[in-house]
Amino acid sequence: MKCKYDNNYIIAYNEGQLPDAETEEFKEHVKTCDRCAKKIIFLTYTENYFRQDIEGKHTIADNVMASIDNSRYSKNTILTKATVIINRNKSVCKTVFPVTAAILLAVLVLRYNSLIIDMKDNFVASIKQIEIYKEDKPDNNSETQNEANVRINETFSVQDFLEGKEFVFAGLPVDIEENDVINKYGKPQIYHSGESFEDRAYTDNSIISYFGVDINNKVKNLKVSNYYKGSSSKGIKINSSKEDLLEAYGSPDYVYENENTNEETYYYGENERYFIFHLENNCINSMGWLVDDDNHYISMKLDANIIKYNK
Amino acid sequence: MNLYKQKNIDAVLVEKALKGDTEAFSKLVHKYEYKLYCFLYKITFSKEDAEDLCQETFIRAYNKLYKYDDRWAFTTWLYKMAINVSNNSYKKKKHSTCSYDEVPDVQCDLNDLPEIAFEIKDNRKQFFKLINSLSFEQKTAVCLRYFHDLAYKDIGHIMNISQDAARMKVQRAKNILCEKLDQLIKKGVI
Repeated sequence: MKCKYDNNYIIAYNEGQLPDAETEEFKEHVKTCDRCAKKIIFLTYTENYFRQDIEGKHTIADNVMASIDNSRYSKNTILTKATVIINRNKSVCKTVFPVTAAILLAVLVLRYNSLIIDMKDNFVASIKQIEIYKEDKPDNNSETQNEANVRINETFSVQDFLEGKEFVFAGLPVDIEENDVINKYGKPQIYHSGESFEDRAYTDNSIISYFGVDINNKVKNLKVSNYYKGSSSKGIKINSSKEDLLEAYGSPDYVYENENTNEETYYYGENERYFIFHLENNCINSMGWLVDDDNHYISMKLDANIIKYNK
Repeated sequence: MNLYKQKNIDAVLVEKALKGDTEAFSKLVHKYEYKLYCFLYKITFSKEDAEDLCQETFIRAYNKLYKYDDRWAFTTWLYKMAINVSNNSYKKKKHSTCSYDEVPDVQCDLNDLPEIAFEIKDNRKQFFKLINSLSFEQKTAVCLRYFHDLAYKDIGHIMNISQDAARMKVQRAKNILCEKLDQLIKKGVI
């Protein structure tokens, strides 16, 4: 006859989990079922195997004590003490640490609020610069591609600027304000305040390297860096030679030469407008425009003999 | 001596050991070496392995003593460590051959079924093989349940599993033993 009891039932019996009536019934069954009897015995045997102590003395203490570093805790370092205290107060520490950290953070934020805002702005500015630099390398994003093309293919007319006509340079018109530059190129890293003129400079990787503003935040002077890819209508661009420059635009109105290899050439136009090419080793490494409304900037430089009248 | 006092005595010994009193740690080793050895022997079926693992467990316990949290019994912490040490040893297959002949006889009260009791005595080696065929975790759970009479909650804490998972491990181990015994019965081995 086939046995109707499965393993779970046998285990339940062995653990004494069956009701009395079923226990008695199963006991009777076991007397005639060799398979169930063997399983009951084997389960009891297994339990007893694990339950039973092992006779004999096993001393490993001597080996253990000979193997440990006896001086490990005699030094009783501050680190050990701290670890013991933290371990014993884990539940308290779990609450205290985050709360303390939150309070410290709040204090720092309140105390150094302006510093944090500056840091944030600088961070945002640096991110924007990186984005601009990326734009110089065409990618699949159409919007970025268009922006990059403006700079790569942008053609500006120095003559238009000098004659006071409509003029766009580095994607910006002449009558821009400080915020226009910042919105387009991010916040500059260097600020310098003068009496009537304030300098703004970008440190690296930006198309714009420098601009100066007047007291009304109107940009008076804008200079591009050697990341700028546009060219003038006469084909002059970054890295063009001095020879090509002079051939295209003739001799400059003002010139600045220092003892090294730097040189600045000023082309003067109407309404105190100047277009300036900066040369290094006889090659253009930056350029920009200046609208010297009050004739203060150029006069100052002439007075100080920084630039010289060339004609 | 109740558990609370026991726990307190162990905590004091740990405290002293942490202040550099190695004699205090020696007392802890003497106190628990036998129980720990038995536990490890029942899992490994090897005297050599049990001794090695026991020794390694105490050495590691001493080195990590500063991490002991006295809200728990010292034995709970010690067994946790023993299981980790043994588990690593199993993973590295650093265990010796089991010697079933050396395993002491298991006392079994079988007055109701003397014939079968006789058969079992003849098959003790087969039974030990069956028990040893359980996974390391299953053997550990069953051993903690019966050797130390621990509640499933405590077994779960030592093995880093839930109370229900601990109960399932013991239940599953018993099921596997019954299934394997069935196969041996069908083959006529037992």
